[in-house]
Amino acid sequence: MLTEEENELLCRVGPGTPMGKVLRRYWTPAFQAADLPEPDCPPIRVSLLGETFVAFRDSAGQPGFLDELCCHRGASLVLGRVEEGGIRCLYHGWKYAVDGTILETPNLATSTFRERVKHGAYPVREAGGLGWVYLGPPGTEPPFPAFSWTGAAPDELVVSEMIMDCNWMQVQEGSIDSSHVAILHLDTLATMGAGPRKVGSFEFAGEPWDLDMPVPARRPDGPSGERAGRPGGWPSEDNAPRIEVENTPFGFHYAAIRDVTGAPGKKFVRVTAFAMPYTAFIGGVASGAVIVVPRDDYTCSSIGVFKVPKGAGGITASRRAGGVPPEVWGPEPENRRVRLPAQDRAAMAAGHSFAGFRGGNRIQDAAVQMSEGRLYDRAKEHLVPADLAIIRMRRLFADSIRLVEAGGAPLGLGEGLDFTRIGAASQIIDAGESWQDLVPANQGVREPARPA
Amino acid sequence: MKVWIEIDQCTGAGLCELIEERVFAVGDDGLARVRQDGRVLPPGPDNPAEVPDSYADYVSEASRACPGGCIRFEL
Repeated sequence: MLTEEENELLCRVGPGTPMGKVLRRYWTPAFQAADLPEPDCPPIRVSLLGETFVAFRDSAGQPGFLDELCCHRGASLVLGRVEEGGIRCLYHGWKYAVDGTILETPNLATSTFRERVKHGAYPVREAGGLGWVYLGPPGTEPPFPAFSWTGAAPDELVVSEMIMDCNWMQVQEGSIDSSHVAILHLDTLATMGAGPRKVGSFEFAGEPWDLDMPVPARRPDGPSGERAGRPGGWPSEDNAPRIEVENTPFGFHYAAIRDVTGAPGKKFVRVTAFAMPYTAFIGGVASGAVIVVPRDDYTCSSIGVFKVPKGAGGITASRRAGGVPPEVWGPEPENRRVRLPAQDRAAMAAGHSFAGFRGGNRIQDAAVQMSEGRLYDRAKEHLVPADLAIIRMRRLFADSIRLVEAGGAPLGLGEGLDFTRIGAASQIIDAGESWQDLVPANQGVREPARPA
Repeated sequence: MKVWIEIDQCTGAGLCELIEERVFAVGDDGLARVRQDGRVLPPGPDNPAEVPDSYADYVSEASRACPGGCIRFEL
């Protein structure tokens, strides 16, 4: 559990808050690059870390990320005209370049003001289908986290963003929580062909119930058109994985270690890497990552970025909502906020479904994470050993808060690190084998330095 | 610093030992104890372990994580 004060420190991200100051010291994914599809296209409003901004692309294709409100009298630049080389406020025609230079002030004839005042503007990088911004003090930008997929071409990437109405930490804690996977996501495992499974005394038949949910590599449908389950399963009946955590230069990684059904002498390990402060590389998830970004204290974006074969990605692929009804969620900009469907209680009661939510893992995750409330009071939680990774994440954030408050840099900036080699894994190995050998480039440290 | 367990409140989750094995141990009965210099002490406030103050961060973290709220310490 956390005290109320500790919980507030962990969860609040606005300007001037301790955690807000920490998060502003990293490159932050702010918007989807595809939302600014061409030079001089319409601008977009971006909420990020409790502030609002305007993102636009100028005539040369350069993205700009500026404070939303005009520095004259506060009209929103999102209403503005994107013109040759900048964005112009509708109210009195002030025009700004991508670097915040005030180009024109039609209702002020003299130039001194334009020369001496600059509008709030922030460095922007486009990579991995996202626009990343740096909101920290000028001159303190850390190395850009060039993950393996950030260099991929747009048609090799699928970017999918779900906006959720809860504090970001609830979602982030879900990203690094292995023990819920074979419980909450039983319906997904059933669709993937895992078969019967137990949760405590509940015996789940494991017949595929939601065949439309988005899971990878579906088998071809039968000759008469009947829907086939997906191949693959889950090699363990062990619902209480042992968690081993190590610090890394980018944050930490951990293994969830489970017994393998019918194979003594083997262990099933899922290694997840967490790159501070937003990005989780999840074992068993294809090449890519899950990024959780706070929009404000009560809203966040959960963004999946996945590398796919050339030609299989791009805007069209990203806009296929695959298996999630559009009234629940869709990847179109106006449809990204998830609206949870009703639980299918009849299917649950009949044992056809465990969770009763159609739409796959993300809908199931959203349901439980948002059910904790807008900002969960962790004074009421009861952690168990399966939650060790969550404890480690909180420690890194708490330590980073202390470091930044003392005038230093936060943890996990990865100075000199080859970010492209950060990896995750999901594999059955011999019981005596080291899971660290599956991900050597993560540079895990078995025992973080402790005072003597 | 002094550390002890209110054993009546211990849930046996074992997080304390996983976080700070220099100070905590789970006994054969599945409940937590404190150790001093590697020796497991009897439970209760009358038998606190005296451990270096430099352990405070981890003891404090174990205390926060403890689902039973049974870890006590004095600096």
